[in-house]
Amino acid sequence: MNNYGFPINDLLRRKLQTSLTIATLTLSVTSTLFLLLFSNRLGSGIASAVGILTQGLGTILSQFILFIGVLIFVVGAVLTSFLAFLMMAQRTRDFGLIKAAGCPNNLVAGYFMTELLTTSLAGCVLGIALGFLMDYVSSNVVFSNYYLPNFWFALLVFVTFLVLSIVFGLQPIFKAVKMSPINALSPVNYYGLTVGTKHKALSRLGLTWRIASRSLFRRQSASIRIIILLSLVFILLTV
Amino acid sequence: MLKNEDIMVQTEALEKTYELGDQKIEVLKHLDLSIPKAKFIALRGASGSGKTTLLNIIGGIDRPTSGKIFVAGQDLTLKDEDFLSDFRCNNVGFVFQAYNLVSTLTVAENVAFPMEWTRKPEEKIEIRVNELLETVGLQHRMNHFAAQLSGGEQQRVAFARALANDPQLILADEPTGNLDTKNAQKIIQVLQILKEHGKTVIVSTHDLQIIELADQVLCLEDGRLASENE
Repeated sequence: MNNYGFPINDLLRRKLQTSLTIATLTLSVTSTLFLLLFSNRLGSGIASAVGILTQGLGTILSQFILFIGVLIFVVGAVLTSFLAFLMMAQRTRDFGLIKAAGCPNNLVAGYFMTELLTTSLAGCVLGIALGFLMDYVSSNVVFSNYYLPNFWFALLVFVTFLVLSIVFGLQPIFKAVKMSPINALSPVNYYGLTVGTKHKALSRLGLTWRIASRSLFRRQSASIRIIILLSLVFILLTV
Repeated sequence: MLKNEDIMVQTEALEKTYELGDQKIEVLKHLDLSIPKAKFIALRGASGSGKTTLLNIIGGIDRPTSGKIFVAGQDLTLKDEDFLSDFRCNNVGFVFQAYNLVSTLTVAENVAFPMEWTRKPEEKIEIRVNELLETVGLQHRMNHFAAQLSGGEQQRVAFARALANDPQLILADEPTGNLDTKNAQKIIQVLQILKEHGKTVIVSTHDLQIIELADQVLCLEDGRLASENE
């Protein structure tokens, strides 16, 4: 097992976790690229239909599609950054475990950066490929057009999403590297768990609900992130 | 009176306080102690007396709130995490009560892992892994994952991993705490071997057999050194 041996083994042996992370990243990139390409095709369609539509309606529709396109891009970017952040933040205990066993800081950072880079790259490459495939299918089935791929959009999505996932994924890695192993191993750091002594459960409905609500409130940072993430997904679906 | 070069661990007015919300919990209070090299030390005391915290600070995986800590001639008190991580890698072998093995690595890989951090050649790593697994009696389990082992076996793997880089100081936090008598006996045999090899071993324990093995017994009470028996 060389320096790349541990991260690759680790990813391959956590089959479910790795495949779910890559699948989620892929879906995020795929849906963003496909919707961008689709809205671009729709925008071009409107522009070429100026003779049929009034100029005012054409402008309104074009601006609306441009707005939707920007929104899709922003939502996709935020989703990808959160995913990368959560993917690495949930490994804080593993950082602590390896550090406590005596692994030097530079190697700990190297191992987890390799894992981050591998999953982000796999997610982005697969996402771009699937995005093009979906665009090709929709172009032939829905528009019955001659298919001309737009590589500029793909490049924009690929570079932005890859950079964002690496930047946001690196944050928990650097934080954990600076932490003492005992802090990294402490449950206080899983998903930003806060140990408050003053908290009171909101409900007295039952033990299950009390446990669930306490867990939700004590894992403040994770709960907030998950709520924002779900809200964004619903906005995207509604749009 | 011990000379400086004979001392492995020295603490001066060592204090550790944890903050939990508004509460402050003083775990170690003004602790002064000296532990000589090549001695087997048993650390005893009731739960919450500060044994684990003291071991964590000696091993460089936690920092004191105030006071000084010297280990193997190095002042660890104000050192940053980069220094401490290198120090742990080269000088300390830590055995945790909860084993803390890497779940995605096999037994052999867990033992080989620390040697890869110090960039030892692969042939030497292979020989050393076999040697260590033979010492702890787990050669037949080398390709199993941690989750496929019993508690006692995991603890023995943790010992083998702690010894991989042949550290001068070995710290074990209640190594028999979670084990039955039969498995505890195997761990005691490993400790006996370490003692015979002249390693400095500090074990926090309630186990009378381990205490009998010790050259010196330090008793902690409420974060203070209550007694010191040769």
